[in-house]
Amino acid sequence: MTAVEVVLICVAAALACALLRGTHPELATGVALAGGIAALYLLRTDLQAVAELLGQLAEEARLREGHAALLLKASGIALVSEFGADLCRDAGERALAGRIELGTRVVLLAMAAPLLRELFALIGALTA
Amino acid sequence: MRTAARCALLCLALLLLCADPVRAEQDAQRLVEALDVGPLEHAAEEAELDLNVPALLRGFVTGEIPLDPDSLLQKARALFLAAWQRTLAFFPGVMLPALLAALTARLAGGRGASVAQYVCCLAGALAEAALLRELIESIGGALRQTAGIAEAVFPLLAGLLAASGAGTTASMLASTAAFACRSAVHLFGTVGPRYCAINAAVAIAGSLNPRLSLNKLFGLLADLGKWAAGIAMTFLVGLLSVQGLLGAGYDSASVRAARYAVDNLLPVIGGEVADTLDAIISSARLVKNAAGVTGMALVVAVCVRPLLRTTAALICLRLAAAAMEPLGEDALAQMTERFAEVIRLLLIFASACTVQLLLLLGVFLVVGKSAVR
Repeated sequence: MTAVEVVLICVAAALACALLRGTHPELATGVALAGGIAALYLLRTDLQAVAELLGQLAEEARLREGHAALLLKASGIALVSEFGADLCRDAGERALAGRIELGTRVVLLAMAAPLLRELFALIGALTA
Repeated sequence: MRTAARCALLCLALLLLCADPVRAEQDAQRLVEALDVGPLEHAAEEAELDLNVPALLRGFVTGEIPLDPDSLLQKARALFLAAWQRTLAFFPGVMLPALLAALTARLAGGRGASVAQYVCCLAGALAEAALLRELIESIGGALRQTAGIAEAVFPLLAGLLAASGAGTTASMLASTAAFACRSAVHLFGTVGPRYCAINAAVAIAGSLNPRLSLNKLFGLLADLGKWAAGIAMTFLVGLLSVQGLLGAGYDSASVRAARYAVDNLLPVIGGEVADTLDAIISSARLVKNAAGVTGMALVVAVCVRPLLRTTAALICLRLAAAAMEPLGEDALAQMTERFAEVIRLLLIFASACTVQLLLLLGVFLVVGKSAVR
């Protein structure tokens, strides 16, 4: 049912945007944003279920402390940034969409830095 | 005249008694009890082997060790299953980053997703590198322990070889075997794992950066490792074989000369004394072979677990790579496959070292045959 609700909300938001874009383009962006947030809100239960499943898998995987959370966080950031960048593109703000993507990449690379350091240390220890 | 004949008959009877096989076995058992197996016991204790070395040696001398192929196979199966279960714990750790990367790519699919995939690739590399480190430590430890066992058993074998009439071979082989053993353990137990780690680093670098094509370099390094292992093994085994053959010629000549002298210079009882000489040499050879087989059994007991563990890890990583391919995670699948290749190389090094040590012990068993009729 959630999927049908999401489809209906998105189609309705798309129709509203199409109607508003000619007369009130600023409102069209707001409607698109509201539609996207509503769709994500409806999906939150399923997203939580997926996150829990991945958390359980991470526990079974016996990854080092913090690694599983880091991976989940990286995936979440990628999802949110994609959503934000798409919205900016819809609003005709390609430059802003690019900045969002750049910011996301920088944040993710900063998150990956401890992993990279740990990997270098491990390889260094093995080859020493 | 009659008294002299009786004395001669008594001597003959005694010598025949000495040549009796049962008596020879008793002599061998006495020789076993007189042997100093302390260093070998100490090496077995250090390797945490729950084995009674003197009892094992006595068992091999008397032939009372039940070597039932079925029970051996069952034990090997149980060991492999234990190793497999232990390695399988790494499987979710290797698969989870691939799963998350695939999920992110499907849900997001932009540039942010590609960086998230990169983070997942890093986490996967860390999990696989941790597995490699565990294997390297386990193999390195086992090879050092086997070197300890081999170095404890070589002097024993050299002494017994000398007692069985192959003194020249013993003196030639003792130093060469010690050199070959140390070289093999250093080469395959210290240099080899480092080489594998370098290969793993190349595999990670190639997978993390799609623009960096390191396929040929990785292949070259893997091939070089295999060739080096083959060449080192051939050289060390060849060296020992040549030494053994050279020594065997001297020993055969000296023992035959001694036997000829006893047989011909001692009137009446010369033939019997020569036979007794053969019986004594046979007893020493029996004990030498038992000591060699005991050393082999200890080496196998120490090495079997790490080798099975490495084999299980190799299969596990191959399975993971196969499972990653349908997810569309080519970089992670390629990295996992290359890690499997690195582990295969590690397995080759560890197997080469184990086989090398077994062959060294085998050379001691083979030489000295020509000393006895």
